[in-house]
Amino acid sequence: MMYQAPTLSRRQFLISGAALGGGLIVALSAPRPSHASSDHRSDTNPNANGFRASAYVEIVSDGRVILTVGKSEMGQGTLTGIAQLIADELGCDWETIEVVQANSAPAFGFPFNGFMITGGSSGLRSEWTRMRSMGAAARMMLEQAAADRWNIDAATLSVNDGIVSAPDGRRATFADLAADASELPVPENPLLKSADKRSVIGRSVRRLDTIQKITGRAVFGIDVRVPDMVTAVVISPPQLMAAVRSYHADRALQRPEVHDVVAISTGVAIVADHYWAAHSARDDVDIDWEPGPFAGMGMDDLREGYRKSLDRSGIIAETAGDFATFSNGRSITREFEQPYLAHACMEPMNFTVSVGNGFAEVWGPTQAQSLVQNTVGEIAGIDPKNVTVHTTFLGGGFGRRSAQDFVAAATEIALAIGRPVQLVYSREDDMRAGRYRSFNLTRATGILDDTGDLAALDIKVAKPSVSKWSRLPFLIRDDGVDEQAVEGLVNLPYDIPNIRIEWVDHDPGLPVHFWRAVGSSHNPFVVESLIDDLADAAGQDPIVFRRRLLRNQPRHLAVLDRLATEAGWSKPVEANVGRGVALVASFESIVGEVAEVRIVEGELRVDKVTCVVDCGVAINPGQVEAQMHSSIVFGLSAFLRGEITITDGEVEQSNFHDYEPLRLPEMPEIDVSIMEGADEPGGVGEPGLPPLLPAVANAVFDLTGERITRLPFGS
Amino acid sequence: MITLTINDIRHDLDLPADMPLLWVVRDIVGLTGTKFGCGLGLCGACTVHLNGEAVRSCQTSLDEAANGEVTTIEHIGTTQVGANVQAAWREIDVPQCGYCQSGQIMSATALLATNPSPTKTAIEDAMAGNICRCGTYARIRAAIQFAAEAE
Ligand code: FES
Ligand code: FES
Repeated sequence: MMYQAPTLSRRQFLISGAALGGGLIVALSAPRPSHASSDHRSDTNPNANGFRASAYVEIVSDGRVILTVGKSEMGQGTLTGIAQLIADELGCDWETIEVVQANSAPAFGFPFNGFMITGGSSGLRSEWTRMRSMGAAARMMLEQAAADRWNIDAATLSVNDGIVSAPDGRRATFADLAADASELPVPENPLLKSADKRSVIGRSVRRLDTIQKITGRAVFGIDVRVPDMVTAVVISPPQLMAAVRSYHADRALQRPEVHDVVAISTGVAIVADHYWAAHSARDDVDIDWEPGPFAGMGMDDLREGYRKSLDRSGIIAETAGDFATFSNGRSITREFEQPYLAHACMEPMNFTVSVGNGFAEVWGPTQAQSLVQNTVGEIAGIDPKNVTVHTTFLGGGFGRRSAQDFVAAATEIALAIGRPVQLVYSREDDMRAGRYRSFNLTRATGILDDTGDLAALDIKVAKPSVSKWSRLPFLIRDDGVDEQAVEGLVNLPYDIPNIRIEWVDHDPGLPVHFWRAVGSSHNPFVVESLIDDLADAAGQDPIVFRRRLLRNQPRHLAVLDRLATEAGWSKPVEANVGRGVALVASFESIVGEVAEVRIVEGELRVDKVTCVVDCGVAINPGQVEAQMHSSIVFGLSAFLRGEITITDGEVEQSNFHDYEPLRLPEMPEIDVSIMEGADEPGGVGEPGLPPLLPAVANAVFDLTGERITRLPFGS
Repeated sequence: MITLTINDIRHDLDLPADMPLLWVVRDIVGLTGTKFGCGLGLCGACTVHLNGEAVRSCQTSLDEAANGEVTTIEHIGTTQVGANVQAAWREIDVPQCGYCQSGQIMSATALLATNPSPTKTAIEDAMAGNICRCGTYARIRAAIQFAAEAE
């Protein structure tokens, strides 16, 4: 069978109409409340302007194909990937595609709750069916229009590069058929191509945003210019979360370019003609700060609090076997400490807000349009629906741009001065604003049985609830476990008869947030380091040891075996080289990595990373490879020197000299192999990161015999 | 009044002499392709050419640029080397988020303008000052080699 019926959500369906100038629009409806009737017809055919908020595919009569995409582009290639999903079914000429970033509208949200958010490597997974359905529906309507015109059966037609052809040689372009097609009903269950018929999905087409990004034309949040706009900086407290007691701004206000100095809930804002004018007035504002909630606190206190919390009992997130009575066997227990980490997006946080008369219009790099609407609405006292969010390109995201600190501050300033304002963080503001990957302390025990098999695993992690901090309560399970705290610990692929995973909700109060791979940024480091340890204790090769534990997991096993081949595992490495392996499943993908390391002049040097990824359908293999590179570099930066520390309640790091991402000369050779394990896409923006840290740590162990239990390396 | 030429257009600017060229270019002249990343000369996002040499515009005062010729990313394609570099960047499809890429291209162009076939070490030296948080380094390296071969 060539076609299969998709499963569009029952709460969301396709609608269509005519575009201005005689084009065709096919769009997704806003998700309807679950009690609504199943009669779709009443919602169809609003006029073209009614579609602006939700149009996904527009065939313009001049031949262009405009796609409106509701996911935020932060480098992960989602604009291109989504366009590929639509184009594959639509059959248009790839060169005619234009992608437009959508404004906030419910139709772009997750089907299950209408939330418009980009994160969790979910972009192409959540869009997989509905985007292809939209493309297919539009194609079927264009085919039908041609069939009606030529008075033949639509099933005899073929579509290629934006042209519908009949067996007798008659041809018509999409542009030519669009007006007629817009009069036709939308197919309720468009049929989707089978995997072997795909032509755009699975191809490494070039990114649609490349030209803009190499010519300086791409508009990021910091590049937004709106009429009458001023620029603001915020002087934040040196001690995290300290409040302003009083301030004097006379000197700053004497500067001709400075318009205003206003106190907001998180500091004092200087408003000026442009960034430099605002920034250079910082020293001319004298602020008396209250002591912050962490005054006097340093890393020793913080560690002490974490250590004590591990002695408390937490919530059992997963249990199997009879762990309580299990005791025999050789055991290894280790404690792993991993630091606070900043996202350090290349583009410092910024946001532009215009508010008044019960409405707000905001522009900027956000991963969470729905949260922005709530934040601005709450602060300005207006209905969130009346907040229009224009999403720009994001100069990096990594989770940071779903946080609301910069949105809230910009809104407060806009309200205070009654004028559109762009708030821009300096790098120092950005580094010190909190919203870190949380510090975490984990105690892990593994027990081997007499045959050297892994008999039991007992892991207890202490860390705060990032879902609570991020105001996304739907990520907390009914039993109170924050999924983000234990991801990478629960549902391990390994066959382990006795298992206990426990989470202690220890919250020192420093603001934490999602950080690339979230719980899987640190939990797999513990698991995969311990597995390596246990393999060593059992006297087994780490890959052989894992193979036995994965005996019931064909996809994982296939990745591991391919990895062994690609990395040349069976060949010994030179004496001065250490080699380590790790395998982690996250975000519906499986990634295995082998790292090769050396110590050069006292410095750890990662020479090579071999990476094998099974991400289900690789929609764009070139971009899958790019995201593996990206995650490996991100992970390596964290492993080698990523660390945010506090002393007397102040963050010690401030810029790229003391929080330094990997630089080009340190780039390892990276070799990526892609496997396809299922006919559905897995995530790709994050899954390459989790195995990197343990793979490098295990390589260090291989080289030096020393187990890394505290990050960053050398701390 | 300070005079300088930006992308072949002469500007007479009545601005503080210590104002960084970065903010002159972005906020006064309105060319936003040049990016702000750190403000301390640590990341390279703000790289422009001043009299043909790559400089960090956040560390270059207006005064230092006075009477100079400034080229930014918006205009680099008008030079042969710049056009080659951009074509290579497109061919290799380098950018991810893209925020660092203006600076990367300006640094790469300055390198190739003086050293048309750079060694691995020469590339590392020239590009070490440009951070890419998205980790596009392998493609940056490949694109520079591609552009060098195209010359
Ligand atoms: S902004 Fe100039 S080097 Fe970073
Ligand atoms: S492409 Fe994002 S920082 Fe380089």
